[in-house]
Amino acid sequence: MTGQVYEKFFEAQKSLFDEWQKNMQASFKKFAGDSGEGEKPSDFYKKAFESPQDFMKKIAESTEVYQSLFELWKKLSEGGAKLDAKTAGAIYDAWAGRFFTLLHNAFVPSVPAFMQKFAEIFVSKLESSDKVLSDNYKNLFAADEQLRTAWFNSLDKGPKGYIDFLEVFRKVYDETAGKAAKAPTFGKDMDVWKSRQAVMDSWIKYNIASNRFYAALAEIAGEATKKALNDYVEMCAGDNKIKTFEEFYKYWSKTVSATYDKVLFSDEVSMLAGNMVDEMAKFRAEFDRFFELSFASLPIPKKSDMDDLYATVYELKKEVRALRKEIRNLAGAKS
Amino acid sequence: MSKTGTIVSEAADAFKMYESAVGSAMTYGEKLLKGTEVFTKLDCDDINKTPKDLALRMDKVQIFHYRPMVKKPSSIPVLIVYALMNKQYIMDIQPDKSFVKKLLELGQDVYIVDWGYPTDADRYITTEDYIEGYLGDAVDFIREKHALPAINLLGKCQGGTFSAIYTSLHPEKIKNLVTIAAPFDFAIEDGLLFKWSKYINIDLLVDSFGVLPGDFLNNTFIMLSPYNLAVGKYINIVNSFDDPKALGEFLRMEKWLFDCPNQAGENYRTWMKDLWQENKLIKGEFVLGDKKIDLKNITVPVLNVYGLKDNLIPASSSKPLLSFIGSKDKEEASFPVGHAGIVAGTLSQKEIAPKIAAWLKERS
Repeated sequence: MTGQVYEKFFEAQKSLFDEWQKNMQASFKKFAGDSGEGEKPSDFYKKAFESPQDFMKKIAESTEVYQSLFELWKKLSEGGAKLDAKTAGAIYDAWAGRFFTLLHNAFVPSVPAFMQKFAEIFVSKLESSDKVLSDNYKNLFAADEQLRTAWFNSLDKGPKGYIDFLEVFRKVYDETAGKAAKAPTFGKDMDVWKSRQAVMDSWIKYNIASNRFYAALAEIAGEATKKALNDYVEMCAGDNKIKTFEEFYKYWSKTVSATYDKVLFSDEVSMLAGNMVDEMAKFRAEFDRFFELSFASLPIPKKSDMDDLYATVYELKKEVRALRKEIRNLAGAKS
Repeated sequence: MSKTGTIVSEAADAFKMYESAVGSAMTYGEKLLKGTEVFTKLDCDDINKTPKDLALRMDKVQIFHYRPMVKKPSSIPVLIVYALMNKQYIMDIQPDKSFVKKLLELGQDVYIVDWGYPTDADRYITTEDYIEGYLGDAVDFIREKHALPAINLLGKCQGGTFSAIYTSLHPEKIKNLVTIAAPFDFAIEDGLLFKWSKYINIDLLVDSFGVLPGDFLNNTFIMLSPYNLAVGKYINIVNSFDDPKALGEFLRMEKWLFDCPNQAGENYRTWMKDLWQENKLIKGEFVLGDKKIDLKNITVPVLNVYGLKDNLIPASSSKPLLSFIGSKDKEEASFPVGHAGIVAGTLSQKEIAPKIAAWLKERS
């Protein structure tokens, strides 16, 4: 009976949420069509978030994480007083996969928008690069037994498995496609070709670094959840039993936050964060170089031209400010 | 019955069944539904709206003068210097939590620096340009306008560090200095930003980007507490979806949090390398342009305010200031608040702004 209630509850909550999103979208359409002076509420949301839908998306993603935790708690609470560490562990293992996907979805929008934009431009606008990029991956997978094995081994191991896979991927990449990216180029467009290879190389390395970082964040959440689960089992056996989902969620989120506070300070995670930023910067530099070379023959100013111009304008502005100050001081001294 | 009506009715039945079986979480769904109406009718058009006039513009930097709210405001105006990394309007986030408005009501004559939103054209602006150039010109402008030898300076976060550096160079132009949640010791162990900053190749970052995207800062701040800031707070806010006041406050803060301006590359290079990575300021090794900064040159009265729950600039980074300056009249005040709450919370209205206004009044 309780199981049916839960199922019904979830179905209802999902339908309700879908309906809520539809209503919100309809409401904002109405706002978008409003006329009149002054800032409209819809303008505020556009400034606060990229769009009102962006805020709804964040709520929706977070709600999915919340619901996923509810599913976990539901399964645990069905165990009642008989719940032991082994059963809880099995429930966790069966549940964790979807949770990591949801958590990943919630964290990944945190990848800076400008990086998402660069990747979008590079991959979608340059079809040939896209093909080379995907061919590189395909070739890697086809050629390397070690990589295929690592991939299959990682499938049911959550973030830890993914982190292990990334390590193998990085090693195999460095020895194969990574080497090819640095191979000598020739022909009339050799500089552009070489630069294109360098962009792809830096993009892959940035992806490895950022995936490694976000996988580490998910791994931390997984470890913290296991701890919360063990505590829950102990509490079930003792007097401090968690009675409701709200109590469970509060306990879980407190445990996860405390674990983040501790682990993020480690040298290992700090190094991952630093490495991600470094790889992002390298990708940006290679990306700019590639565009400069690609459009070198066109009669348009390049980034380096603009930087020269900015430097000149900066110097002139500084000089004007200093002269104004001097004039003001002289005028003050006279009077 | 319409399709929506049917869904709502079915959901209500399911929630009732659920409540009788489990007794929790039901309100989450209900609040989402109620929130639709509240959310779309919400009016947040009161950010940064305390009346003010543009007093001075220098490139993208603007100095605003707030209209006094008492008949006879303080004869020594105070210039608020905010950080470059966030926008100054957190000090005027909404009328009942406006730090600026509170200072005005308590008789202060208030100016504020709005550093603007740097673009690619601003990549060469240095720390010296910000402190000796824009800030220095703003101080001189206000001194001249009020025919005063010195004015009061109130710096928040990075603005507090800038204000202290400026005061050490020009103590004769500053009557009193107030710093709020400002970093001075960058070699602390309990700040995540301080830890991570040591692992970043700043030259590579600045050389690649020129002007550092504000979005980079937004995301860095989220990663300091990834679950709470990327997921948890959006779950918690649903509990306030039927409360226009709470939802409005949440959204105003979200707007501010995601409004980090781009950072001029050359200033960012100096700020991060010399201060965050090498801690040169309190070591007495920091050089601005061609001038070595000695905090002992600060001899004016100083009030150092910091939050005990600040995880961005922990108290351990702010607190040491007083031991490095030459002032005899120096005081510190700590409050159980965080980095934003120190100027935009309930306690900032009740205790922090009144404390600062009274301290300035005694010395003006």
